[in-house]
Amino acid sequence: MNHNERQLRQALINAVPPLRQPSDRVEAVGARVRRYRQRMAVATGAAVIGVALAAGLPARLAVPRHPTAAGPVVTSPSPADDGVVRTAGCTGRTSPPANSIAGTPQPANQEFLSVLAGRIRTYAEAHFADLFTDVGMRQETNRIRVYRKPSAAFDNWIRHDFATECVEMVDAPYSAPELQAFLGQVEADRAYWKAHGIQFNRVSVDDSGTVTIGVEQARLEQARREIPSHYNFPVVIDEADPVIG
Amino acid sequence: MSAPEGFTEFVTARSAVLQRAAWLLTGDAGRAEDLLQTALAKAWRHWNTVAATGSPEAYVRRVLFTTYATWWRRRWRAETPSDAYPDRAGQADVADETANRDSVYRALTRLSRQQRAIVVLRYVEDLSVSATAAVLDCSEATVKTQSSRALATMRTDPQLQMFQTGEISS
Repeated sequence: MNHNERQLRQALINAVPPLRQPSDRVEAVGARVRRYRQRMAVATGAAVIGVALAAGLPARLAVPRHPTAAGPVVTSPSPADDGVVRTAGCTGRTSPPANSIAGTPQPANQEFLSVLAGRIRTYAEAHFADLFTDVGMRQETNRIRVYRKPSAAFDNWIRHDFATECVEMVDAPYSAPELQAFLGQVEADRAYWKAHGIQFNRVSVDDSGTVTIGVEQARLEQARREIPSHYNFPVVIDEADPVIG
Repeated sequence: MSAPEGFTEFVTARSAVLQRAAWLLTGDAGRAEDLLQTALAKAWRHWNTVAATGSPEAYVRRVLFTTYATWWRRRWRAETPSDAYPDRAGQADVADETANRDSVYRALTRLSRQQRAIVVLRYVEDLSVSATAAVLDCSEATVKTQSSRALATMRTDPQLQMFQTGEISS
């Protein structure tokens, strides 16, 4: 690193303001891991139920099924055993990592996947706004994963237009506008909660429909006691310092 | 649920450096913390494998940068940072310090997401061209080209005259 590079490095480091450390970062990370595992457990449970239904379990149990009781009717295409609908391009696809760091396999093909995800997002937001939730990259397996409300029309579009790529479609409970509406409800109450002594430092919503509200540590217990019961969707209270960046 | 063995020690020892990189990528304390915790949560789930490599920081850094580059829009689509700013203690040089900080950060904001990641990896994390390319899963030529363009963009800021004449390898 030459003199100018050292200068640049110092200027960049100096640009970073003093950053406050959360009172317990490990605990906060652990909470994220717990929420992730809970979501995965729910998703796995749904997939198991789906497999059971596909295997004709209701008939064996003599439970009459009304078409409208089973939710949206998806006629085609059918999901795999794990509940994920995949394009033909996923068949037989193996994607060994292209590189590794210190022996740890690393994701590959990021640039291409990024372009692919962008194409899907743009079209889906324009033509399937009431169904589309989100799109992300699963770099470890070199594929795209789309979250959408169950819809044969949506799946057929993906399967047709991205037949040679590997795109996975996963059921999501809400579309992006619905998630935004949850967020809007909480945002509309920001002043109300402030009047009760609780300042929202951050508000976000994830694809499961869980709204996370960040409040200062001193108000954490009060917020956890008072806020979630006010809403008819899951609300999680996390510690978050005010945004000062 | 307790943290896997060695995780707490790693977080204690390396969080500050990773948090600094996260801030340079996001320019926002709250988002930097979220980005860092997202990367750490992914590492937690695979900690045995990650720790066995003997270089967990390389893994977490990689996750942090790829998360920033690829999942950012998803993670933050609905984020609404606070509109309330905390009171800060007065200091004699706060104005100058803030101006310098702002000028550098303003220069960073003119860069594409990839360029910013490259600048942070190359000149803050001090990674080589090949190591930067490995982290971002792109070619070394891309790193060199984008690095050069990023520096040229940053040099257009009048507050960054210090880099006008000097030579910086890209």
